[in-house]
Amino acid sequence: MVEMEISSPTRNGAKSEQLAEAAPPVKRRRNLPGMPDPDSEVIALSPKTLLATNRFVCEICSKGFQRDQNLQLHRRGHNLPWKLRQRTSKEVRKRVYVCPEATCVHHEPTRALGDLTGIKKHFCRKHGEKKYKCERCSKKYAVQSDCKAHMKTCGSREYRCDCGTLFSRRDSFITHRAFCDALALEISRPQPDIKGGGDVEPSPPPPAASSPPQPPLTPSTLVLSPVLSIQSSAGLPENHQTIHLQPPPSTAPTTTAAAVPSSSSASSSHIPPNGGVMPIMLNASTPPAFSSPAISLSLSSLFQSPSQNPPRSHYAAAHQPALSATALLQKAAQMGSTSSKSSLLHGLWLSGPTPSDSPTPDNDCIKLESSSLASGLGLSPGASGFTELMISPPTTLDFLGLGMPAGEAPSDGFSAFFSSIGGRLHHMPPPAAPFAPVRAAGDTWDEAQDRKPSML
Amino acid sequence: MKADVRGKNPSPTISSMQNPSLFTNSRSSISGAVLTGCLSSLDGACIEKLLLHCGSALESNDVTLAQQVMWVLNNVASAVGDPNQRLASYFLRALVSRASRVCPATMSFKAAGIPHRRLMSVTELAGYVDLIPWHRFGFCASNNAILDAVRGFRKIHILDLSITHCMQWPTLIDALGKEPECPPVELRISVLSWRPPTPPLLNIPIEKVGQRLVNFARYRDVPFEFNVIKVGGPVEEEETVVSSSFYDFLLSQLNATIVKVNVDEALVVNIQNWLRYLPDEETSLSDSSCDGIMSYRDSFLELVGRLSPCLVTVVDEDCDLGAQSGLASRIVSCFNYMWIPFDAFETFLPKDSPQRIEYESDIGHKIENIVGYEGAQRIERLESEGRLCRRMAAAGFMSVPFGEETVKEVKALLDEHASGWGMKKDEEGMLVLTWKGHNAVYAGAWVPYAPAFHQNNLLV
Repeated sequence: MVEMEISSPTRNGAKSEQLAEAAPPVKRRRNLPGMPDPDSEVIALSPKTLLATNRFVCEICSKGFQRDQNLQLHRRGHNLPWKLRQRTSKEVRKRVYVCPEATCVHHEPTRALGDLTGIKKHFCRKHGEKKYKCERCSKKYAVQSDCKAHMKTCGSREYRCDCGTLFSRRDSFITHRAFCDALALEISRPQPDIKGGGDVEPSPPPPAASSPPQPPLTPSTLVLSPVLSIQSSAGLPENHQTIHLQPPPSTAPTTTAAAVPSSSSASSSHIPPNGGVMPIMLNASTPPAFSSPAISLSLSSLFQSPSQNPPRSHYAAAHQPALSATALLQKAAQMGSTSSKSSLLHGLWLSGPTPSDSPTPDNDCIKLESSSLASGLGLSPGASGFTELMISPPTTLDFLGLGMPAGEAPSDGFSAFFSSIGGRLHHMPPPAAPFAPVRAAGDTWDEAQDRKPSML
Repeated sequence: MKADVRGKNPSPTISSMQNPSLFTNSRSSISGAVLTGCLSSLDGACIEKLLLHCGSALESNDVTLAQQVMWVLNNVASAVGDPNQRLASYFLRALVSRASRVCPATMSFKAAGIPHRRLMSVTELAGYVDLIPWHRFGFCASNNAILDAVRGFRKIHILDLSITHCMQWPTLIDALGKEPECPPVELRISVLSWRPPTPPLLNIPIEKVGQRLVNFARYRDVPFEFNVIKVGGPVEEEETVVSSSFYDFLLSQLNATIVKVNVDEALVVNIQNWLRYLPDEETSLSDSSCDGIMSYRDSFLELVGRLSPCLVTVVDEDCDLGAQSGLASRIVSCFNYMWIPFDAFETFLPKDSPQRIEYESDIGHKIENIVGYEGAQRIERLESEGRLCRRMAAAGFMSVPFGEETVKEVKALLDEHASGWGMKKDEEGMLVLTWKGHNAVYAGAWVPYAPAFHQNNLLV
């Protein structure tokens, strides 16, 4: 029982003092380090004495020894008469030692260490100079045994990230790990900052759904929220979603997956929850089982964006039975050959006014626009990425039959795309800035897939 | 590759100048003999002289001489040669683009034919900052100083002004996660939505980076919050010229309200490779609260002081390329300074290593700005350690020396890198990263004097 009530500990390291009485333990127990047995004798040694290599001196020949046992062995060799052979009998009390460094926590008698070797090591480690160096990694130690112990394991210690990359240094490992996709937490997208405009929710009373966690949405999030709102019923975990999910209001609570804008009535469709379907905006840690309806949902939802956003053209969701994803995409492309599509693009990438031309379907360009649209959405298979709308597994593309190879110059598709629109876009930033991420990201993703960054 | 482009570049661009045939006649010109003599020895001193000549020539509008020197440099420089040659190739490119520009003032920095900048992923960036201790040195010193300064506080708020997209913070978050205190210390990091248009460039917005940090902090059980402070205004994209009105606007937004300073938090302002983007020309500012003539940099520091942070960490590159330096001297200083990372790479990466080439081209981007532009478009205004110390003192800060533990940590960090990296501690308490003895990056910590100081706007 270690009792911390001390009768009268003096604080300036007197030669020895008595701690409070307590029943001596029946069998030998190890006290916790720094919490000594109360009735042990406290010894305070000066640093010089503590570190002296030969504390035990033979009284006959003055030879010094590091350990008492060694001294005794040596004394036997002097053939002492019996009387002198016995050591001065003194009741051996357990001794505890205080650290001579005044600022140290173990300087207090109540925190004395019970082992002389221990206090020596402690003093060297904490307050001493590091004289011993590991050859392999140049780490330095004050106590030789520490250094030897380290050398046994040195080099074998490597940091491995979940993604498989090896690091020899902890700081580079930590930094990598913090940003690595393999971090096994769901990463939800934070809301970028907003430009005016309302929600994407089609119905007249814009649902507060997308709003509360984030006030006005940027066009890109305008794109996202419908998808997410649709997905919410799929039971997405909410806490990580900064884009809050909520079913669209009840104006058109159809459970159709279709949302092809064909009339001007605003409505939203409630896409049936799809187990495991995550918004494509979310990142790779989400379940890969990702079906194309999600994409088509996003597209269709996009086209549902109605009057809330005045500059945008009107779309509406038709009350139609669920269409196949391919059909949806084609219809979207069809509708989108108009300014509505440019609005889509705006939603995707840009912010700014959209032209408000009336829709003129352009059947000839469907195929081109579908692929452009898809590329515009940045569907590059296999990308385990972070950016919104740029993530989907290969299956999706195959399902849609777009046949677009991964990451193949999406921005080129954009150029074609834009030209197909006929330059109706008013706000068209130069290709350099916003689209650079598309291209470059596509490139880097392909590499990043199975790339292990070479560390030093 | 670059060599090909370079070979073609000088002729068509310089042909727009006076006398294209002069190019071919360079050898026969008077100075040609001197220059050809240089070709035999390709060492750094020679290249330095060439650059100096070229700089002087451009300063004095001596197009002929400039052309001649560039011709020589063209033969000396090589994108895959030794560090001096590689460096020279970037300098040459910058000089050529400068010389060929007709009206430098009206062209935006980005529109002047700078090739499409490479955008990295976060993972690549994480590797990038650890390639050499150039950034990690500052991270380590600052983080340790921050931990020392905020000890005892329950909440920490860090205003992070840097160009490395928060690469500094995982290790800090990790360190906070390791501390066995309960309740755990709460951390909040704020960044600006604007960032100087300089590499390294990231392919995701800063909000995304913040989200990852949030996740990481959650994983390490550290209460964490990430804010992006909108400092919008006339600048929407990184690509536009940063004008003085922008700086006025920026400075006007750096107050306690917008930064969201809370009294129960320990505020730390971390300025990493960022201060050099604030213009340091002395101008009389529109802000009437500042007496006298100050530069934006000085006003900024005053503003920081008024936020009453408990620590201001500044890390930057130790070279004088500010407003006061003329072109020729700037070119030479820049060459001698940029040689340091080039030489460091030489020691442990092969000549054709893509990482090395990427890093070098990022430095080339800086060189292009330093050498190729003047005035507001020259955004890279490096300042040496000594000048910064004086500036901080003038702005009302006193230096906080780095603790022993910090010094040890930094030393341990450098031990793990190539043996040419070293560190020294100067008398003001700053730490300086050195490569083969040359000063590379310095790190310092300051605190403002008592708040009353700032209210009176007087210098102690």
